[in-house]
Amino acid sequence: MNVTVFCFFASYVVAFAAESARLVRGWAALRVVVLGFIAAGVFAHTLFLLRQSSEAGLPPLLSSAQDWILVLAWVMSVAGLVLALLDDRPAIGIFLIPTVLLLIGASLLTAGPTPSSTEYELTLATKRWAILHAALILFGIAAVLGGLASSLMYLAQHRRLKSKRLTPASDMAMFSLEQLARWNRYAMISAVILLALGLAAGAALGAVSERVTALSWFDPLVLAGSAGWVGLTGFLLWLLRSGSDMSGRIIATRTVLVCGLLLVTIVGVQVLAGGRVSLSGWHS
Amino acid sequence: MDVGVVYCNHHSADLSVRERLAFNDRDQIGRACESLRDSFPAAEHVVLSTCNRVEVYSAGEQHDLPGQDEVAAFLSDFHGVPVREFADELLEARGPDAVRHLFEVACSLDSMVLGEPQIVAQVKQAYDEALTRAACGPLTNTLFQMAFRVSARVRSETSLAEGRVSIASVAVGEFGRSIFSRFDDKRVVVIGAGEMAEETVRYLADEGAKDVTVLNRNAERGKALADRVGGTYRPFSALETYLAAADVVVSATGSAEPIVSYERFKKARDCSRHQMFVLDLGSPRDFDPRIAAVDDGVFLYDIDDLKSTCDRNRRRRHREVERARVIIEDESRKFMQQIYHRATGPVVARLRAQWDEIRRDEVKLLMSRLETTSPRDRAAIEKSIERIVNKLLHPPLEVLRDEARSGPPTTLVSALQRLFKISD
Repeated sequence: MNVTVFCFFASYVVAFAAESARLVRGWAALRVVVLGFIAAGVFAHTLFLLRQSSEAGLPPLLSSAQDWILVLAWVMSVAGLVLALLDDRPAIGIFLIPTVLLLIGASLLTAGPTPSSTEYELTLATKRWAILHAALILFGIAAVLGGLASSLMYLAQHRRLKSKRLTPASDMAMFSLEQLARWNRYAMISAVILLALGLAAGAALGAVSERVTALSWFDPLVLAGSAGWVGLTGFLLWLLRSGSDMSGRIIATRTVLVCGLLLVTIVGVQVLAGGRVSLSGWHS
Repeated sequence: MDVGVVYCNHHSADLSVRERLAFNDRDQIGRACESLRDSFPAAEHVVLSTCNRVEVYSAGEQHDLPGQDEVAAFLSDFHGVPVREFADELLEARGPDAVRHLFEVACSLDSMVLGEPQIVAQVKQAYDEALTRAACGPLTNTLFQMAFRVSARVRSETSLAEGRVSIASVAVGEFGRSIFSRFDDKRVVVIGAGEMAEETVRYLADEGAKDVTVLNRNAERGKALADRVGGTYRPFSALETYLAAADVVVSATGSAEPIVSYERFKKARDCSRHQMFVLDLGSPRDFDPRIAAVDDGVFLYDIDDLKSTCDRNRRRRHREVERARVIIEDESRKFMQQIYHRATGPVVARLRAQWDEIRRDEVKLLMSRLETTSPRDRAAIEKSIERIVNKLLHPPLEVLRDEARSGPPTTLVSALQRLFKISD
C-alpha cells in the first residue's frame, strides 16, 4: 500500500476544518466527521511509520529524525483521538490538530536519504539504549507539547471568561481553568522527568556504543536539549515555588514562552541537522 | 375595556437603568400600587418588579388607562429619577399585545433563562400585592388568573422547563464550572439570605460544595439559611475577612447600594491571586462592576452577563418556544374575545331589555282585547311572540358575537345604539 505523508496530513487538515466548522455550527454530524478523519489519519500515519521502519530495519524512533518527529506527531494525534472520543469538546481538536500539522510540516524539512538497514548494524545493547533515549526524549517533548496546548487553552478560556463571552457564536465548551492549570503542572513535571531520563539514557548510550563514540558534549543537539532541559527545570521550580500567589494567566503565558522556545530550539536543530539517517547522524 | 402595560426589561434597558427603577421589596411594590390607584382611580393596576423587568399593568376603559408618559412620570416621582434618564428605555403595549406580553412573562419566554420557575411566583406575588392594596379589579383578576393557567399549560405541554434553566443553575453550571473543576474543596461565601441566595447555594451543594459561610445583616435569617444549607453563619461585619479567603462568592441581597466597593474588595483581596468566582445576583448590583478588573484571578458576573448563556438556551429550545407561543397566542385570543364580548354586554342587555319591554306592552294590550281566550291559548300566544322577538334579535347578536372574536366591535355597537336608540 502506497501511503504517503500527504495521506494523513490531508486527513488531519480535513479533521481540523470540520472541528473549526463545529465552532460555527454545533452539528452532531461534524463530530463524526472529525473523529472519522482523525482516525483515518492515525491509521494512515501508523501504516506509514511501519513501512518506514520496515524499510530501515529499525524502529521508527531510530530510522531518521523525520520519522522521530512523525512518531511525535503520531503520539499527539492518538492522544487527540482518545481525548476526542472521551470528551466532545471541540477545544481539544482546535488546539491539538494544528500541533500535529506543524510537526508533520517540520518533519518534511528534515527529510533525508532513504534509510538502509545496512547502515544500522547496531549491537543489541546499543539498540536498546538508543530506543530508550529516543522514546524518553519523544515522550518528554510530547509532555512539553501537552503543556503548551493546555496553556494555550488556559489563555483562551481565561480571555473568554474575563470578556464574559462564555458562549460566543458557537457552543464551544472548554475545560475549566482549574483543570487546565492542573494539566499544565503535570505536563511540566512529566516533561522535566522524562527529558532528564532521556538525557541520561543518551549519556549511557554514548558510553555503551562504539558507533557513537564521536558524540561530543558540544554537539548542537545535545547542547540545545540540555539547555532546554535546564530552562524547563528552572521554570518548573519557579512554578512549584510560586504556588497560588502567582496569577494563572502569567503561569500559562510563561509556559507558552518556555515550551515554545524549547520546541523551536529542538525542532530547529533537527531541521538544521538535515535529518541524517544514521544513528550518529542524529548528533551531527 | 382595554389592557395596557408600560415596561422596561432586559431587552430594552441596561441593568443600570432597571436597578434605578426597580421596586426592591413587597412594601415598595404595595406603595406603588396605592399611588397608581390614587392617581388613576378608574383603572386597575398591578406592578411587577423583578431583576429582569419593571412593568406596570393597567386595565379598564381605554380612556382611563395611564399612558407611557404618565407611567414614566409616576416612576420618576416614585424613585426620584429624572424622566429623561429612562424615558427612551420604556416600552408600551395595549390590547392583545399587552395580554400576550403578560402571558410570555408568566411563561418565562421573556426571561433571560427560558423556563425559569421563579417568574410565576414573582407574578403571583405582584398580583397578591395589588389585591391586598385594592389596586386591581375584575379585569386584572381575570387577566392574571388566566396568565397563571397559561403558564401551567405551557409547563405541562412543552419541555420548556426541563434542564438547566434558572439563573442560579446557569451561573453555577456554566460559569462556575468553566473556572473550577470541583467545588468540594472550595470556600463558598454567601452574602444575603433570600431565595436566590439559597437556590444558588443548593446548586453549589449539588456540585459538591461543603464549606459554606452565610453573611447577612439580619442574623436570624442568616442563621436560618445556614442551617438549611448546612453552612455556618457569620455576622455581616466579618465580610472582608471571609471575602479574602473565598473561592466562590454569591451575593444576592436587596440592598439599594453596592455593598462591596472597588477599594474594599481590593483591600480584602490584598496580595492573593487565587481564582475567585464572584456571582452578583443582586439587582441593584451588590459589587462595584470595576471589581472585575482588580486582577487576573477575579471573575465577576452580574445578571446581564448571563445573557449570552441564556440566549444559547433560547436557541436550543427554539422548538419548545414555538410550541409555547402557539399556546400563548391561542389563550390571548380567547382572553381578548372574552374582553370584547364583555364590552358588548351592556349594549346587548339594554337592547334585550328594550325589546322585552315592547313585547310585554304589546302582549298586555293584545290580552286585554282577547278576554275570552283560554289561559292555555294565552300562554301559547305569549310564547309565540317571545319566540318572534328572540328570532329577530338573534341575527344582530350573532353578528355582534362574531365581530367580537376578531376585535373590539366598536362600529357595530355604535350602529346598534343609533339604530335602536340605546343610550350609554
